[in-house]
Amino acid sequence: MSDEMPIFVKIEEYKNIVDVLRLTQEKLEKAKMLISKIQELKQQEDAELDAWQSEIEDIDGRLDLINKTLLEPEM
Amino acid sequence: MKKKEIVEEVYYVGIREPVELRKEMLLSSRSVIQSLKKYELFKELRKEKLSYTYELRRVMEELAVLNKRLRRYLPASKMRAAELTQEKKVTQQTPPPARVKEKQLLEEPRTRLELLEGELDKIEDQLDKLR
Repeated sequence: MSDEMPIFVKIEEYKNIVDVLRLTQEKLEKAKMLISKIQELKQQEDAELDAWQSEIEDIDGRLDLINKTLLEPEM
Repeated sequence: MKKKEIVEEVYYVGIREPVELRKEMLLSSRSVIQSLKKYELFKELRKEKLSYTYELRRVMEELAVLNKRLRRYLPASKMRAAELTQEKKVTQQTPPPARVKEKQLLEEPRTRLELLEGELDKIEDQLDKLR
């Protein structure tokens, strides 16, 4: 028999298949939306981490200055 | 009673630009507090991201269930299967693949990952039959 031969599906099952496909489509859309949300949050997280790092470097610089001033007192 | 007098010599250290130093210290304190505030925001972001990740996992599980249901509804075509059995008879002389080992593993408690791998193997088998 040829692979191209048509296959007939019971009408009840056909309806079920259409329903499941519709639901699958909806779930896929939701998954896409969730992934884009997660990506967005990840980008925010990365931005926060970058800002955090630069702030810590800033604090480090200030502490260096304070240390220098305190360790090299005026005679 | 005679008071014991301890003569303590007090030394002072001169600080250059004291106002500037005080300002730097205050700015450092401010930065530290701002960092802590940022950490709180960061925690919130992670919490939100985690909740979305859990939701995504749930949706993916639902998708797996739907996919399974879809496969159940779709007719299992036996036409190709019959052809494949003939093909298999020819290729049966080759040693059995690693799947035998997997069947042995079935008796052991399976992790979620192993279950998913099993599912994937089944799908791969079905795809092979369709090729």
